[in-house]
Amino acid sequence: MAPPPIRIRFRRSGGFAGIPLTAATTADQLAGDHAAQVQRLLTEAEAPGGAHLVPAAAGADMFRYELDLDDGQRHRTLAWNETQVPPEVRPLLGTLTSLARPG
Amino acid sequence: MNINTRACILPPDLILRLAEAASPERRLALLQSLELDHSFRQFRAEAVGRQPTRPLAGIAPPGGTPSRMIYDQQDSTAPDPGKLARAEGDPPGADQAINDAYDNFGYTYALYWEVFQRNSIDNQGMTIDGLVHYGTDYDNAFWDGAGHMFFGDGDGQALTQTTKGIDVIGHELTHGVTQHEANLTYSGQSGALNESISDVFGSLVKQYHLKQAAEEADWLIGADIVGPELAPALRSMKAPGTAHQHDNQPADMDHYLHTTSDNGGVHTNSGIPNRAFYVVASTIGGHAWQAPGLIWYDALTDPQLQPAATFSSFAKVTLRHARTRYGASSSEASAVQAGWDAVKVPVS
Repeated sequence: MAPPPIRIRFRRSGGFAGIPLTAATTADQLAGDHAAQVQRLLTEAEAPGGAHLVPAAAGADMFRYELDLDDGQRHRTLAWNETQVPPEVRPLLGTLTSLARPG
Repeated sequence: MNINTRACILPPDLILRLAEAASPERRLALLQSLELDHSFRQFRAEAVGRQPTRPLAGIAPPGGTPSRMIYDQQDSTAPDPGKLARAEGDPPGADQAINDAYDNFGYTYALYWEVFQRNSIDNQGMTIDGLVHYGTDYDNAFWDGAGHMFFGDGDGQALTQTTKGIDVIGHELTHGVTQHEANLTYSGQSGALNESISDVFGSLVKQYHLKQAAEEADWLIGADIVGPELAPALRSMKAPGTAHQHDNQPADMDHYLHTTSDNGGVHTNSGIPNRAFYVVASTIGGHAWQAPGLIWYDALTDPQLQPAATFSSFAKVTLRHARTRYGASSSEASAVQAGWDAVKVPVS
């Protein structure tokens, strides 16, 4: 029996326009690379942005990205400001942004 | 998630919500991180606030010519400047986004120098660094707090080329001015004030360039960069909440939005002081960069304006400067009182 898919709740807030975007999907709905990235973010002990949160940068109008991941057994919330997004995570956030709608 | 002592990326409200649902040990760790986060933010605010950016009294700062450096990020999201595309004095090139950034920074510098005698972001002639073509289809422009302003090309639906907006360029540069002056903390009411001040001076840059009187201006923000999804503009200073289909800005304190999103709604509640400025400018009439702009600039650069300023404390500073500059019973002071009354912000 296949494990349950990882539930993803995505939110992008801030930005010059100040219009929040949200999306909800599951990892199995994403392309292979993205699904694997989600799996790593949920399960790896040192997930980027999770175990090594850094102070929020000074500045203004930056986007803030939040990911809430849950597979029924594990749950993790991750957040990055614009200039703190790890390069390996940015493609996933780009795809989730394209799925997101104001709300 | 392991919240450690560097957990300042999380806003205080979110940390408190996480703490409510956490185990006792985890709750303690979260609350400790909150305390450290507060200390960090306060230290940062005070440290920047102590930067000696104000020229000594009686010594006019040199200036009058900007020093612009426009970089092409070539769709990268790297946080550092990319390829230098146009330096100060270079002729226009083939890239319109680069040329727009150069020109609109020039108009922004002109307002600050010619009206407020301010020499660039720090009043010391700081180089104006614009980083253009940031990301791919990127719907945003931002100030990074370290002297760089980033501009995306937009996706064509929500936003278009962001350097096209003279008020957008003025808005971002003003975040730098604010950081070097009151350094308003980017959260809650002080954060919404920070945003509003950028909208006010962004709009003044546009009005000054177009030589518009208050009654001729559209008082819209971002009208030149919105795509079809957000037309006709991002914000309306005259009528907050009416700029586009998702606009939920309040127009007075009765409708102040209490939220944890966007650092406590900094881009939402900014509608309240935005409208106050509009009412002041339209009540006084004529060119808004004159009396209204001077009063707001006096307030922004007043050393007594604290990083944690509220709408009310800022309002009091504006009224004090209106009375000092124009007289206690002047029409300008009455207009400032009327502006804050209109949005239900107590001044006394």
